[in-house]
Amino acid sequence: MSVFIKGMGLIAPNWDCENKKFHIDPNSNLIPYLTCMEPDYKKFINPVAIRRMSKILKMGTTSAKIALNDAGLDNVDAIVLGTGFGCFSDTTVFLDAMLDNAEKQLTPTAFIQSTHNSVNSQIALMLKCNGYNYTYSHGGLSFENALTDAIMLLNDKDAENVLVGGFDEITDLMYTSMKSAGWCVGDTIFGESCGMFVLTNVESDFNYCKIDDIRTSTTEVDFGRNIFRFLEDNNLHINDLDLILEGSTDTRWLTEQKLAPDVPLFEMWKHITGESMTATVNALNFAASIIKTQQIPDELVIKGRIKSNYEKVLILNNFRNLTQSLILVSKC
Amino acid sequence: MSHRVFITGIGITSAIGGNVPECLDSLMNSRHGVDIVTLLDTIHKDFPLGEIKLLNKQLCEIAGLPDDETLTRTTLLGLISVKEALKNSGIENISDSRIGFISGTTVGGMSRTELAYDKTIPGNIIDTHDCGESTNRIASILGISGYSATISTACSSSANSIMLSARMIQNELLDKAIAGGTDSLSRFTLNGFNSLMILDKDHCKPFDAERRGINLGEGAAYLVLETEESLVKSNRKPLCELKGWANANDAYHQTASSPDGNGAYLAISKAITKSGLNPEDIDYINAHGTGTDNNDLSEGIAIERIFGNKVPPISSTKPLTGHTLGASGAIEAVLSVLAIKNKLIYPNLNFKTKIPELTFTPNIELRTNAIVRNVLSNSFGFGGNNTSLIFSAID
Amino acid sequence: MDELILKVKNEIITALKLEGMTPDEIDTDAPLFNEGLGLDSIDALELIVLMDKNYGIVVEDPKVGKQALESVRTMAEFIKNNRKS
Repeated sequence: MSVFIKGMGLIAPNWDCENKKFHIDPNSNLIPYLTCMEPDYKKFINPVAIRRMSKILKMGTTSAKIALNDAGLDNVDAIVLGTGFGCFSDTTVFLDAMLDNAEKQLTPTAFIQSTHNSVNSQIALMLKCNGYNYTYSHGGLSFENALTDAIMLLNDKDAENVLVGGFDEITDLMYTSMKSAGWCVGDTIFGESCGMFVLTNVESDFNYCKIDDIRTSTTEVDFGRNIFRFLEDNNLHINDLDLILEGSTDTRWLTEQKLAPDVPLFEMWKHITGESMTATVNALNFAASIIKTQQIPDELVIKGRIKSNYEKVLILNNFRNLTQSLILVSKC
Repeated sequence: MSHRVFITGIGITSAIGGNVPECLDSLMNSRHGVDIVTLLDTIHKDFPLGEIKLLNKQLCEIAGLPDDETLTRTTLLGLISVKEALKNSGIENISDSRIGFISGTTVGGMSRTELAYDKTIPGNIIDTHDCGESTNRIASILGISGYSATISTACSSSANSIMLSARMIQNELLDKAIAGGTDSLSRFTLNGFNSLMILDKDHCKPFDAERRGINLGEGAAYLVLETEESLVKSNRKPLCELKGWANANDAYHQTASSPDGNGAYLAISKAITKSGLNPEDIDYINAHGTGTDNNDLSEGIAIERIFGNKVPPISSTKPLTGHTLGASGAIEAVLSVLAIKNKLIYPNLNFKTKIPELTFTPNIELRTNAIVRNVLSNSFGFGGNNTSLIFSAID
Repeated sequence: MDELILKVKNEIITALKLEGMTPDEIDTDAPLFNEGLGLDSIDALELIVLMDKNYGIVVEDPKVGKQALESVRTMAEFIKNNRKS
């Protein structure tokens, strides 16, 4: 059973979600973290529903809508999402209100929306989707948890189309808190994004690419060795890859250890769309686009010899050297 | 894909006991753990809670660890019950990569964050804030290195962990899984539920016409799930089988359940189909039964849609433990396993008057020596997230 | 009373983020929930807190709140009869 990407929606920094292309904001380096280029949400969400929504809920429902439109679907069989910090802004709104009013006169909206599965439920409400609905919150592997589950649903034929995605927002408070805890090491730029994908087990000429395999691991294993074992399990040699997207908070395994000198490497995607616990969504979107269009956007600066044909792409993500994920995608 | 999924170990920590024997003793005596607040730092002392009357320092001691303020209450409760479940199942090589660890939580590190919060999250507190941290910390302390995941789908979180584990085992991605969830009480959730005006100032009374809301609680529970092949290898006898599971979404409202109980109906009926059983085979329903106006009516309607006028003995055990949110699905799963093993049907405390819209009344006395072969356990959460699990005695 | 009704309408618009709406667009006697303004149970809770914050009225029983919040007029009357500030 193969699993394909059928549609995508991405709201991210320096990314024009409606035209699906980069739009580098010259002012994006004025604040110490990257924020999303937001669309006019009213074009996508009905005005009654949008009224109470915080930014992350608008981003979640809108990117889901874009992904479904892209796939030419009105609904899906399941919704499976991942988020590291959940609806952080609503969480701190409620914490602030508790502090300011000494636990009195609190309104419920921020509390309800702070629930990790509120983006899932808003999408289910919008689509009237009664199907399987899961939210993962597993640090730097939150989106990867969701993707693993979605692939299993499709393999089991429990679903034909699954909406899978990852989202995390950034606020001043979050940035300050991460900074005080020493998360901002090296040239790390934190950011936010919300990426949705419609996955299907039905082949079609319109699919973007195939997802061959995914693997996640924690510090307990040797990340470098893990990459080679993963490729071996997929009957590949590192030189069989046409492109590697390496996203690391700090240490760049492949670059620093010169593990893949002959493979084109794009290691800077986190400098364009920012670091977050679910940053992999950006890389998966770029990889799928490159495979479908066979073109690398000018904004992505590639190290190494550029190939003319992109069939096998490896996404390697490493969050704060705590977790690692490997995703292999290929031409349909 | 025909792999059967067995339960070989259980662990639990809750307001009715710090381990399986203590909880069983409370259950046999219908002794509840809902009482006035003594530990949680809040102004809302008038809401009774299912609070575990131990300080974090004492929990560290029970977990066999030196006092460490970076261990959140959520992590500590989880750690204690994971250890019990592992011991109970007799797992020896915990670092085997074919053993997964799937945990559910809604509070995560909030119990620590809220104490330090001053409109920033100072120091290194953010390190423990996210839900996944509790899972990773437990895994790292115990040396679990296989696949791990954290699910946060409100009050169905840990029921969903159990369901995911069963699916991963059936897909041959894992041989064994430690599945469950943990949630500690926090000022954040207490105030949140209070802002929704769904907390009862008295002891809660699920399925009663005069029900007024929830008593929150805290705790953790984990179950060890295994394939038949893995059981043969270890030559151990399972406690019971997990036969059915399903998750469906109500897609009706952000917090409220639909008047026709559609999401609940879908979850229960799909779980029964998956189990290969018929509705009349269910001997006991451990209901979600929070005690809110909305849940109990909606759940009741869904149950009547499936069981008609033959609703099996049903009770909510939340008046015993309090509503432990993300942990409740796993806690009630452990209670379901204990019901099968000990032939028990639990009482629904505080019930007096039937809900006028419903035809059935819950079971009010503890039944011993009852025939309990198949138990349906419901866990429903905000966002219309509905999960049903079916536990069955071994043939 | 008319003055209070106008004040309540403005407060509702702010509290419930009814962006772009003006007080004259809210019918004083139309139902606030379901039909009419199309508000839901979460809005009702927001309005209960509004009455506490702005008028010192503490509603502990959601059912009492429901009766008071049938329309802008019933809400204004409830405030007039129960206000402490």
